[in-house]
Amino acid sequence: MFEVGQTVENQYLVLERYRGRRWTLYTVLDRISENVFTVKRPSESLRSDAFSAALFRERAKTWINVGECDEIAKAYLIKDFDGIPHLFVEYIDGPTLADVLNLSPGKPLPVNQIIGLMKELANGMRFLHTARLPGESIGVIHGVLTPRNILTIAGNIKITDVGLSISMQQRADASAGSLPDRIHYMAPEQIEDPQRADRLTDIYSFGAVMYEAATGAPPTINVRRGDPLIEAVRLDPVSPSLRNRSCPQWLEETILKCMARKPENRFQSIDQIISLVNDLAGNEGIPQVSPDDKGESEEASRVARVRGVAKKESRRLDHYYLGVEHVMIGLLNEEESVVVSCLGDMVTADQVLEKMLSRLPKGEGPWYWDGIRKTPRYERVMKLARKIRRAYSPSDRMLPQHLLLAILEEGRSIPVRVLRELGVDVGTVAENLKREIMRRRPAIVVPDSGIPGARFAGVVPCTTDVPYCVPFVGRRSELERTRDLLLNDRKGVLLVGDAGVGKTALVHELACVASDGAPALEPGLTGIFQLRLAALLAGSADGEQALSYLGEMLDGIVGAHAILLIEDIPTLLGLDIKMPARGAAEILGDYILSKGLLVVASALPSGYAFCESNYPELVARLEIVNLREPSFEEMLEMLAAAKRRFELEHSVNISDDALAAVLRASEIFVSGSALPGKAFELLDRICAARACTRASGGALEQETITAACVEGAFSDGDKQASQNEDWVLNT
Amino acid sequence: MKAPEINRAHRAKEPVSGKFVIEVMNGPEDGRTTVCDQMPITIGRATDNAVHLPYDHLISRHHARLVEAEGKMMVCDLKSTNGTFVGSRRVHGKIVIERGKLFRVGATLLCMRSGEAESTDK
Repeated sequence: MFEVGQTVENQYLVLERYRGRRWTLYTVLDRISENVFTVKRPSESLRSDAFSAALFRERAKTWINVGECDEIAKAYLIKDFDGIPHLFVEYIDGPTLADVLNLSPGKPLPVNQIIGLMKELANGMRFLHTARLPGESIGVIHGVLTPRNILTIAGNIKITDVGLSISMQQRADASAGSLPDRIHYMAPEQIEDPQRADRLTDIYSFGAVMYEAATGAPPTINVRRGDPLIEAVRLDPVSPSLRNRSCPQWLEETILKCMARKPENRFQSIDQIISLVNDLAGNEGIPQVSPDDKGESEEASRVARVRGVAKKESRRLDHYYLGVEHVMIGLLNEEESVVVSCLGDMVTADQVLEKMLSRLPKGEGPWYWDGIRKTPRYERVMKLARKIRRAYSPSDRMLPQHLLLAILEEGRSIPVRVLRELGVDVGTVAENLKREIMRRRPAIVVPDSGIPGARFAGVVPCTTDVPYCVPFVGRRSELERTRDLLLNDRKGVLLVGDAGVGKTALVHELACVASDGAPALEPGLTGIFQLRLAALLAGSADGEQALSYLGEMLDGIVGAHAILLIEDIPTLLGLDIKMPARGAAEILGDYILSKGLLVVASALPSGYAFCESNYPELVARLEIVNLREPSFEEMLEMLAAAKRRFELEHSVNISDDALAAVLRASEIFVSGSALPGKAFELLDRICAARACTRASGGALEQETITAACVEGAFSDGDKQASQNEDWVLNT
Repeated sequence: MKAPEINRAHRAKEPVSGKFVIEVMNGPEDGRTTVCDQMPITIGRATDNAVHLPYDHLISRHHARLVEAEGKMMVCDLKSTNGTFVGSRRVHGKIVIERGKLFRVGATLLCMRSGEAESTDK
């Protein structure tokens, strides 16, 4: 396992780590290419035997070879670290579709977003199903498409885990005591035979994802009596309109046809779905979205704002008519980024504005029109914009991009003549914008972190059970001290402790304190927000921009009366590429000192020493809270708190003696992290192996731990072999 | 200031074809096109002009005329108060003008081109 801040093979700096049931995900910064990647490391259960490991490699290679598509996350390479294959995938800075849907449980997406999602998903699936692979083979099967393996970036989707879901693990999951989440998205024939995956099972999964988008909940598995898996296979899903009365009939029919029990009753190809959706859109068969839809009104208000500025400018210039030139001024004022990103570095917005104003005739005062007069060219451009909107985004209201493209395509207005005079190739710009509209139109609205201007900070949730983290047990004194320093003394805190000692658990507990008791002490406190360093680096073109974004984010945190969490602050302060570390330290120091920024940072003891020697001024502004190693009894309590999760996940029964044995064994057999973290790691490894072999009926006793360790399969290397016998004798 | 009436008798509902198309390139009538089948084409604020521009007070009642001579297009200024310009050059008498090139009467820029118009006055 890699730790945050570690540089792997002198090339990959680990910025973030997330541990899930099937994968450990690392976000790494490649020091050579300066790109940020997501690295997927399969869990113990996915690589517990040679067959599973080979299967993983095979599937990963297929994903790498599948080619490039806007809706598919790109996989780059497989690299072995410590004999374990790691898959390098495109870093996508956005939540999963499941996260988006979970923000309003039970609430369906607006119809326009469902259509957008459907189109993008269908495009991605069509690409997979028709991809040409080396060796003449055609098409890749995703396996199980679920909202968890659909990522979003700026409202567009990226399908991930291509082909990786098809594995032995599906049967293991299906036979486990708890139903895995993805069973809701598996076709009946796939539940019966987890090895089965074809285009029609993918179409079922596609329908199930759309079902959740349309109803706000996954297709129900009616667990009334008997085997839930049999129920899942036998029963039809509840009709979407029964869960969401406003679900349009065409959508319901499409979804139910995708989810037909018998494969032969489903759509037989993704193309059929795409043409159906396009037909509906072309025939205006898709109902209009209600005006109270937030996403819609936001988009509509963008064009309304542009028009508002255009009218205001017309009056200011004494024109009292509305022309294309006024609309362009509105666009430059309200949507400068749209115009500038379209023009590239050819001209600036100021240049266009200045030249255009110099071309406008002097106004002759107000005419007594009936309302504001619109020029014939304005009418033509708006007509063209509506046509463009219908052609490219039939379900959406008009966007500023549509308006700009219409102006460019009309080609004879004052703004276009001005652009030509400035040397802009208007035809090329229009083509680029057209491609951009087709490609980048957001399918769904993804809410931001809630802090204005803070794209690079994520909320730290209040939870006592962080998956795959040491549970919060004891440590009341450290928690109280941290809280007092932050809220009473208004000082920043640096949590110092070894890896695996429980820093993350303390921070999550602190988030609960911040949300429960703290507002009384600190009125207006909105919680803890974690710096998303990977997103910040990936989203910045150079160091200057990264520092500017950091400043913006800190302004947002201060403005929102929130606390900033910086996990492993030495990683930020040790950066020598992408962002000047000294500049970041200066900005942080300034905000702490002059703007009252509240910071909780964490560091390993070695990282603390680095910060103290290189950034003494910054460290002096933070109070140190040392996290001691818990007592044996506390650690046992922590393991006991997490026992049920391990049992459910691996379908094993763990005895209390086994927990104590794991604690003792981990001291010897696991290196690189502290107790109790390494005890959790060892327990996970042994449980995975036990679940795989199903030895001793899945029971985990003290003897099992002893046997596993003596076998040496879980030791960190040969150097441990000699210690095995001593340990067995002592136990 | 009361808005003058546009001569609606000249407005065609359907697209029409013609030899010459005069398009207004700025001001309140930006984008309006007038299609004329024959020369000369008169331009001015008065309603009896082929190209009637009522909103520009810098335009004289009978401001300019487009004529064809020896296969070339020419613009003549009709002794207007505020002048006719091709580029920055004021027209005295008549001057050759290329199709597609802009010329200014009063504060209004016009463009003459050949071909069909989409929706026009005639």
